[in-house]
Amino acid sequence: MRGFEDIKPSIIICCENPEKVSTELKLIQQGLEEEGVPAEIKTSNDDVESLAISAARESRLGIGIGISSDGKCLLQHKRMPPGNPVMKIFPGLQDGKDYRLIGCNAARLAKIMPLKLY
Amino acid sequence: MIIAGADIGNNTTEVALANISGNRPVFMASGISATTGIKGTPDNVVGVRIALEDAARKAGIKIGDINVLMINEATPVIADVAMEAITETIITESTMIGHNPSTPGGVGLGVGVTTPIFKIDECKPGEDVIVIVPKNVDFEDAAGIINSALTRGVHVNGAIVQKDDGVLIANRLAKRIPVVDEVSLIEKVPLNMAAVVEVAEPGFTISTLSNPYGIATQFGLNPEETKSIVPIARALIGNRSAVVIRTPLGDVKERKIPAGTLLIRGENAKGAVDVENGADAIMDLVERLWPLADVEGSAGTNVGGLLAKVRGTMSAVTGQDPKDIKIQDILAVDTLVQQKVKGGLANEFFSEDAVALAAMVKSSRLPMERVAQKIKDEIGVPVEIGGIEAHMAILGALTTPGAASPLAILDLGGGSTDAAFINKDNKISAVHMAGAGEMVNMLIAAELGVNDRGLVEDIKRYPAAKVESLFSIRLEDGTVKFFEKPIDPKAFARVVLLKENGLVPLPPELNLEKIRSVRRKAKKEVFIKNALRALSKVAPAGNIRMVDFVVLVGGSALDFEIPEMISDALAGYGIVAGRGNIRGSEGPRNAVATGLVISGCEKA
Repeated sequence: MRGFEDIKPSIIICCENPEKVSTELKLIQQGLEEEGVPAEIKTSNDDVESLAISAARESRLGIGIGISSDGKCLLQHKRMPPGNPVMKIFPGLQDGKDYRLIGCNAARLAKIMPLKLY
Repeated sequence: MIIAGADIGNNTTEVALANISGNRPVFMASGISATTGIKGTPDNVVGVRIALEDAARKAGIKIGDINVLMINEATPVIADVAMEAITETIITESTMIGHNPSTPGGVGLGVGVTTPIFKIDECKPGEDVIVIVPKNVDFEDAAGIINSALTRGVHVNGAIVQKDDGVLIANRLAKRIPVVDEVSLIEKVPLNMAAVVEVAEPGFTISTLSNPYGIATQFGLNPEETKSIVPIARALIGNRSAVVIRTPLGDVKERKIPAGTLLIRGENAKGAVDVENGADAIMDLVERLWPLADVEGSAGTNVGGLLAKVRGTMSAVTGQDPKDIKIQDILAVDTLVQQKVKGGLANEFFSEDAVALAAMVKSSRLPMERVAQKIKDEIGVPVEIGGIEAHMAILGALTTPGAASPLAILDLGGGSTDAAFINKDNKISAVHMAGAGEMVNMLIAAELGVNDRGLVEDIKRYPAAKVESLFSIRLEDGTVKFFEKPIDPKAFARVVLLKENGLVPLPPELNLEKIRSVRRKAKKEVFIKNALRALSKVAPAGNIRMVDFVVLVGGSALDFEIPEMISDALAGYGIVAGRGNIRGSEGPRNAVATGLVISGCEKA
């Protein structure tokens, strides 16, 4: 068990199965990398809302991204109410850019910079 | 007997309603509406009706119950504003990219020849190259191509990228090079030209390309050429990243625009001043020649056009020949305009020097009889034209608790700033100065580069704050306010305006300090300058210190900071100044309408 001080401040990305969403994860990480904010990937079995919320709670920055195997993706802040994510992507309606954008905006949330429009 | 007073102003029409019993008016209600049409024209009737209905409804009477409606002999003052840039920056052949992407990649200074990424294979080992990456190249491919060129021994020293990929590319390279990204018009970057790319560490600004000698060192310029690149260096000051490309004919020029000459005729003397000389020179001349008989601008220039437009509007209202319309005051303010650089590559803006001008015209008399007749016909209320506007405003202002004559009023309107002074013998002197709320709007719009007129009005009227988290904002004074409900993520980290019905986010490029300083500077330049100018002209012996009380009235007196600014400036002269409170209840509004009722009551 790591102590709180040992946990690096990073944005947590929670998914059910990293292999199933590898393309999406890569795009999200690119967005985070361009903005220069570290991230960690975790797995757990849950619906996408709970994934995003637990990711945000676990993150020392209070910012988490949840992504389900069908590609639905939520950006959540730990102080935002569960039903009210900062940004949301529905599967099938998006192109790759949106996943990169959600990564970008997660990072900007951490850096306190205006979000990119979506 | 029920008496109403209606004040048709430049922007608002205000009504006061009173019941006269025993020669004293008992005020029943006030009404307000936007003025319809230009003040003093029959179009005003609609606004008068709306304001009357508003007041009548509040008082619980019908318009038909009103026995007499007093309207003022409106001071026929029309003001207009215009802006004249006096410098212009032109980039001939694009030679400079001075924009500030939020996340440039890498760090350092790179020198080389601009080469498209597709042609990097043709480069020989040992060549110095700045690679250009258009948006159809994926960042991973770009990094791969650059890396293989680096292993071949080609010196890739920097990159210019179209997409927001700077960090991604820089992180994948074997060598640390500066990468400037988000260059939208990358196809315009000249190829096979010597170029320098510079990216500073986060938190620092570039030091070589913002220094004329730095550019001269990199390109081996002679003293004459170094002189000509000063505008480039100046434009790049404060950036975290920049590119400068040397093209054979490339040049950035700052030239002075011949903005025209103002010919100012005083009643006793005349003088001319070039607009390029700036606001102080113009205002010095105005003060020396005061009172003004007329002002002319040299034909074919923007100044000439502005003054002609003011004359045209006035002659349309009064039916006088434009030649007979005399401009009686101008106010000039130095400012900066945000202008898009001609020939820029990434939508760069330059701040150009400019002079903002407000002009005021006074005709002998507005055709108020026509308005009065139209009101009689259409609303069916007997109308009387009451006294002069300034006198009525003073009568109204005197109903402010704590105010007494001798007293001066400052009417802070939209188009003009007016002052009137009543001495112990009840003699009134009045003056109208060009420049008021609309000029403040113009200054804010120009300096912030905002084109939306509604947004500019809001920036003027509401304090700003910065959204610091999803639940809190930091206000201009540094205090933090928390919210129960989360703020819209679209407003996150932006500057917002605190409007009554919530937070309004502003464009992301505007920052809080800039908004606050531009807003306050515009208000000071116009209203403080005009308050002092106007008071010194109505005060006994032209001495502001002889005035004891100043009551601020008019729409701009409702502003959240203008009255404080004026109070503060006038406190230095030992003057009690503050926002009026007409009848102890109306605030700075309704002064003239109230004065009309009082004077109507005295006559009755």
